[in-house]
Amino acid sequence: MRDSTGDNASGNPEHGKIRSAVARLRLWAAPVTILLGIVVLWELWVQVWDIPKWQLPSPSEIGRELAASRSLLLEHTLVTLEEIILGFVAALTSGLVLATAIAYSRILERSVYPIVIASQTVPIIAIAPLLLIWVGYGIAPKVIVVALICFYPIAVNTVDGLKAVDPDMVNMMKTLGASRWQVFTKLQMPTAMPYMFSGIKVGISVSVIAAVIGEWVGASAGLGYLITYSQPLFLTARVFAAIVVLSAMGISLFVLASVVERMMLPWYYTEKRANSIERM
Amino acid sequence: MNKFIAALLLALGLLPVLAACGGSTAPTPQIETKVTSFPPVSVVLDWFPWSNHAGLFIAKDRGYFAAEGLDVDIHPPADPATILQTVATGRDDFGINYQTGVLIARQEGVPVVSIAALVQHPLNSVMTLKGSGITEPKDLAGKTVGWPGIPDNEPLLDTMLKSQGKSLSDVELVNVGFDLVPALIGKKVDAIVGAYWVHESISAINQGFPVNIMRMEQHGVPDFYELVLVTNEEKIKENPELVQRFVRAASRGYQDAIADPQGAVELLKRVRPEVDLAIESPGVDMLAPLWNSDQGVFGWQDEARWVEFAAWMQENGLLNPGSDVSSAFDNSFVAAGQ
Repeated sequence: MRDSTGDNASGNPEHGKIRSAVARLRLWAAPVTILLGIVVLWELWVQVWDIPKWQLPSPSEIGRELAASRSLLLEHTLVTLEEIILGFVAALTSGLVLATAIAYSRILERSVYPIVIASQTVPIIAIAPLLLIWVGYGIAPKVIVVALICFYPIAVNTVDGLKAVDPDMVNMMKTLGASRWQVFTKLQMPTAMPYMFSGIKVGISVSVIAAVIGEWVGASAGLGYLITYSQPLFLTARVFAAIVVLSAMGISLFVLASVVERMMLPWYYTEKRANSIERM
Repeated sequence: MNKFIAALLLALGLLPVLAACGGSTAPTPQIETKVTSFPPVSVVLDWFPWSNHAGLFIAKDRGYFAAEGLDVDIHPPADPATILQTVATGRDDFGINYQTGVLIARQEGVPVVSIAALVQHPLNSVMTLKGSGITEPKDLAGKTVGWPGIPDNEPLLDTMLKSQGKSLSDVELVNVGFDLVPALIGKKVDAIVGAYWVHESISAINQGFPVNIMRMEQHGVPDFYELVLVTNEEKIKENPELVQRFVRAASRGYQDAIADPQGAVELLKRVRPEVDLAIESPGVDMLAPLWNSDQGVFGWQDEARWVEFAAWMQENGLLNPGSDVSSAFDNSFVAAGQ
């Protein structure tokens, strides 16, 4: 590999840096171009066809609204974010505990797992108004909706992860005298982690929608409330501004989950990178 | 790159043309085979069917629309917040919405026009439980009030409170969504605003909870039209004949309903079995007198009342100063029917 790059090495050490900068640029060029393309097309479409802003505001109109209502948006963003964080933590805790229990007990798997699956078929939008009546109009019903929706992908993926362990490895550890706890912490947990993080990433992405559903049926603050309040006032640009903030929130939470995953599973990523180099 | 731009412009230019072609070719054979001289008419209600819609269902069931050459489809809204938008874009030809909604919509450039008043007075009211001791707006001070999150309810309540020396800051508003009655009878809130005194009050009574009612127009709010029939500006300009025929047939339907309110809700029950007669039967007797104006005309809209209500909306920040009120309604279709 090195022999052919002899001139490169002798001539200019900067050459490699430039090359990696170009590679990085290429990595970013496609997503940025596509996003910009969509925005430009959208803007042109609205301008050329002179679409009234109550029907479809242009990106520039939405930008203006984002700037003009920034303090309003921030106030409601914090409320929604609080609901998401509380609901997600509840989902994560209960999801992991239940998944572990299901993975370890055949009785629980046969009795509780079907209920977990059934819970996902409950139309949350029908239950949400009742939650208000059961637990009141504060933050609680929104947190419950977020937890109900995020819980499922976390629990199901973790169960799959805990069951994905190679039985030969378990047997080997047992023959080497490992305790059940050691098998769990040294083998099953590390195996299940990538699955669990897949569940977490799915859960955290939908948590944003969950919070909006929770606010839709009755709230006094939050981005979902701001949307339902702005609609009868025909402030479509504000509706879109709130959606932009929600999307940004969803993407940020996803990135955050990915960063945590990378920090907790360094071995998984070095393996992955090695595999991808092989593929190339 | 130039090729790319050319392709882009071509795409932008062609798509709507293609869409227009698809739209205009499809319904043509349908029109030829039917006796009607008008394309099918779509009417979006303000809510699920209830006794207030009886006149429209009578006009359809007894053939009053058909007699005008209209093939009418009546359906509940996909979302109560987007009725004026679907009417403005022509997805629906006619719709039912609030007087406040029409004025706010026009300010934001949504080209809708009220062509008839459906209900001549406010139905929106403040309700409390009978035993609560809250019978006047001033009693609401320090209490929690459930509201449906629809913006105009805040100034309406504020005006009622101010008529007795209180204001919105004296109460705690709780957005309970559309489940107003459950919030009240579940004692989650002390009062509710946004509930109709000819409908929600009865559903509360039927659950075993008699209520106190505070009517808006009796507590400082200018008398307004709770619900109006709307269409869009283009329809009035391009096809006034269609609008005229629709208003005429709807008016016949409501005259029947006024003459026999119980017969009207029985017909409603027949065509929409999900309707609850335990609510609609007592409710329609209170509602029927509000369908005709003081002059005994269905749909009549009085300019002075529009102006006065718009002024109230401006005072309360619901409308910008200097909004054009006179083009928000068109009384000519009702007047022509006289």
